[in-house]
Order: sequence, then C-alpha cells, then structure tokens
Amino acid sequence: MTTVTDLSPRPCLVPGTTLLGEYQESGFREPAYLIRRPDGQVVQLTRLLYLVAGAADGTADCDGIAAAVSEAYGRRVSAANVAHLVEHRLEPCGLIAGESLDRTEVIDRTPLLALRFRVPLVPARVVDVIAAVLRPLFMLPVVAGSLAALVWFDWWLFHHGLSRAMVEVITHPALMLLMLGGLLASALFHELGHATACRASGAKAGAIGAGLYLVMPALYTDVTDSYRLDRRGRVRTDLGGVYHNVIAVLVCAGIYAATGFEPLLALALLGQLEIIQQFIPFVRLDGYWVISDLVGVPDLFGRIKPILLAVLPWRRSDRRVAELKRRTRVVVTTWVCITVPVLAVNLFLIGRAAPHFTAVAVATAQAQARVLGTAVSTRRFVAAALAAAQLVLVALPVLAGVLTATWMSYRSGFAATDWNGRRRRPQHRRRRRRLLRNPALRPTDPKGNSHATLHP
Amino acid sequence: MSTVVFEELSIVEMEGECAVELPARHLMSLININVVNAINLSAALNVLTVGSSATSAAMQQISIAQL
Repeated sequence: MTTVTDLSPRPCLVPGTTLLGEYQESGFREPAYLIRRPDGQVVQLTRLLYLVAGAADGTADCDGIAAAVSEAYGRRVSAANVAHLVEHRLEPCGLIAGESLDRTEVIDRTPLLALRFRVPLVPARVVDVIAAVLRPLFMLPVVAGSLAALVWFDWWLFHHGLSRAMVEVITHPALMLLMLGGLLASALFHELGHATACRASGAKAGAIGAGLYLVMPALYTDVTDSYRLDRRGRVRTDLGGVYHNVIAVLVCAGIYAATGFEPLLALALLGQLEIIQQFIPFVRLDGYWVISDLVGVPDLFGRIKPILLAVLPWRRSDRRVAELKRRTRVVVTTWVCITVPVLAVNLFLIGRAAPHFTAVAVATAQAQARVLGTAVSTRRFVAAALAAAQLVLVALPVLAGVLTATWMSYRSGFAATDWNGRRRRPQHRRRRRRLLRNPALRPTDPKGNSHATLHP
Repeated sequence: MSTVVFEELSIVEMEGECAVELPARHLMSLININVVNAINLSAALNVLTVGSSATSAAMQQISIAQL
C-alpha cells in the first residue's frame, strides 16, 4: 500500500521548469506568479506556492523549505504546510515530481473553443530565425510609415474602385489559385508577425502550425511564452499579426503600382477583411487576446461559468470572480454578457444550417470530382488544380464542423468539466485520504484542530 | 514585552492557495475560404464553359411592321 511518506522528502522541481516571475499588470487583487513547465505549459500560482516551488531545489526537505519560505513570505509556514501544498497543488500541476505525475490520470485540459485539432509545421528554431530577420519591421518609424501608407492606399482604392479587379478574377479562373495562394501566404505572414512581435518584446515564439478551428482551417503561432511579458509586450504580440497583414496589403499595392495587375487589388481588399475578422473578440482570435491582455486576465473563457453563476443569489461568490479587481470584473462581466448570447446564437445558426450546408457540400464535391476527372483526362491542368482546390475548400469546413461538434458533445458529457478544461479528479480524494492517515504531515488550523477534524 | 506567536497556515488558508494551468496562447489566423468560395462560384461557372459554345434558334411568329 502506498502511503504519504512515499512522497519525495526533498521536493524538487521537474528539470526544465522555469520560474517566470510575477504576471505583470494583472487584473487580480493579489499578485499572480507564473511558472513554465518543460512541456511549455504555463502555470499561474499564488505567491506562497511560487515561493515553495522556488525553494524546492531537491536539496532541502520540507523543514528547510518551510524555513526559507517563512522568511520570504513574512509569516510562519510549517513543514506540514509545505508537504500539503506540494502534494495537493504543485504535484498535480506537474511542477514537482511525485506520484501524481502519473500522466495516465491527467485529463486532457484543452480549454473550450481553443485550437484543438492542430499540427506544427514550422519548428520553433526556424520561426526564431525568420523572426530575427523580420525584426526591423517593428521599428517605430516603419510601423508609423506603414500605417500612414495604408490609410493613403485605402483612400486611393476607394476612388479607384475594384470592379476591374473583380471582373478579371471572375473571367480568368486561374486567378482563383492566385487568390487562394495569396490568402495562405498572407495568413502565414500574419503568424510570422505574432512571432516577430513576441521575440521583439523579449519572449520566445514557438512553432507555427495549421489546424481546424470551429468550422474553418487556420494557421497558428504558439506564443505561450509571452505570458511572461508586461502588458505592452503582450498586446504588441497580439497585434503583430494584423500589423503584418498591413505590410502584406502594402506589398500588394506596391506590386500593383509596378505592374498594373488589377487582381492584386482584390487580394489587398481580402487582406483588410482578414484584419477586421481578426478583431472578433468572441472566439480565440486576436481581438480576444487583446482584451484578455488589456484587462490582465489570461483565461477569459474560464471566467464565463463563475460569472454567470455569480448572479444566482444562493450561490457563494466563486474564487475566480472574487479574485478580480473591481474594474476588471466590470470589463470581464461585460465581455461575458455579450459573448455568451453571440456564441449561443451563432451555435444555433450553425446547427440549423449544418444539414443544408452538408448536402450542398456533398453535391459540390461530387460535381468537382467529375470536373477534376474530366480535366485530368483532357490534360487541362489549371482546371484540374482549380477543381482539386475546390474539393479541399468544400471538404475542410465539413471536416472541421464534424470534429468540433464531436468534441463539444464529448466535452458536454462531463458535468464536472469547467470551461477552462479542468476536471475534478478522484486521485485528489485518494491522496487526501492517504494524507489523513499520516499524523506527521497532517496540517493543523490555528486552533489546533487537525485536518481530519475539519474535513472528516 | 509581548511575544508575537506566528501560527502556521490553516487548512482554510491553504485551500485558498491555487495553481492553475493557463491556456496555451495559440494566436490564429483563420483562412477565410468563404470569400474564396464566393469568388470561386463565379469562377467555377466559367471553368465549366471553357471551350463550349451555345446557339439558339427561334421561329418568328409575329410580324413586325418596318417603317
């Protein structure tokens, strides 16, 4: 039988774990601290836990850690306190090696509406090199000049019009491939913008990859390390993508100025539509992260459920609501009150349109498959490429929709799952029972009552 | 001189200590294929008519007076 004394008597942080310091300019009443695990996952902790984690170097036992932490924390922390916090807080998060690091018991913690179906394409080291090359784009004069040039270009485009560009695109089907390629290139450049801004602000960008988000294909950049930045750095990382969209639009305008190739103007317009789309704050696009970083709350979606429940008079205020500063709580509550109905309406509309959309998609796919076959047999390769592209474009939203619906159904089956992806785990209760059996590590309250007395 | 006795943390206080895994920051750009599809609808119609021709004929049944 395993007992609590099997816990490491000298707690030690998992090798590769990094203490990131305080989460700067946060929206919490009490300071929050960050630690990054070797797998890149960032964990937010209270100051006491951060101090315990920082003292757990593998050389000090619980008494030694307690002494060091007590001095830094400003009040007495006992060895039993340390043992409790290590076992019940730090081990389950994978920060300290222990029996709870049995990863088979760790539930998938992908938050709701996060990018789940993804695959990395460009490794972090390559992204880092490219970001270093693109770094001059984030110099202030370049940024100011680019934004001024965009305003001027839009004014010119408004008077020039897009009719000729659209006619050319429609009458020359091969240009469809150009538009598609342009959109993909623009999206990739957008991601490099995030990575470059992240690097320029002092954090390390991760890999760039592709995935399926809700019902659309998407590219992504892993900038989890930007949690360590101050508010300015975080927001700059968020906006780096749309800034690169601005650059892409200006490149299109420049090539048009040199060649007079009208379809580039249509591509420039699509680039600007992408900028507007990115500011949607209701799903995890750039607009969401901008709000999150401005208010200093890193997990807005995790606040939806507690904020909604807080309106019930018989419910005690949840920690995730109470810990927010007053002004932050107002902003987050406003966001919740707008986001929830918007998401609900969109979910309903998507669900209602799904059967019709799927039927049309199947019919279109069949038609395009016939076109593809004919085009290949007659060696019309442009038409074949167009048909193949159309097949992919039709299939992706259907595939993404099915995957998303399946995943959401799976998630909704767990009543104990919150919106941030955490579940109560039976192993916590088992560990608590083991703790209660060991009087040496049983913490006491100020009145001398034991853990067992308080929680029989 | 009074002696200040510092008590260790109580269970309630320790329950207030929390560690939360933050969501990964995957900054995304959606590839807006709806726009492409809209344009592609027109383009596909054009693709299907490449190399084809159409003729029409109709009997004239109404006499039109020419001045």
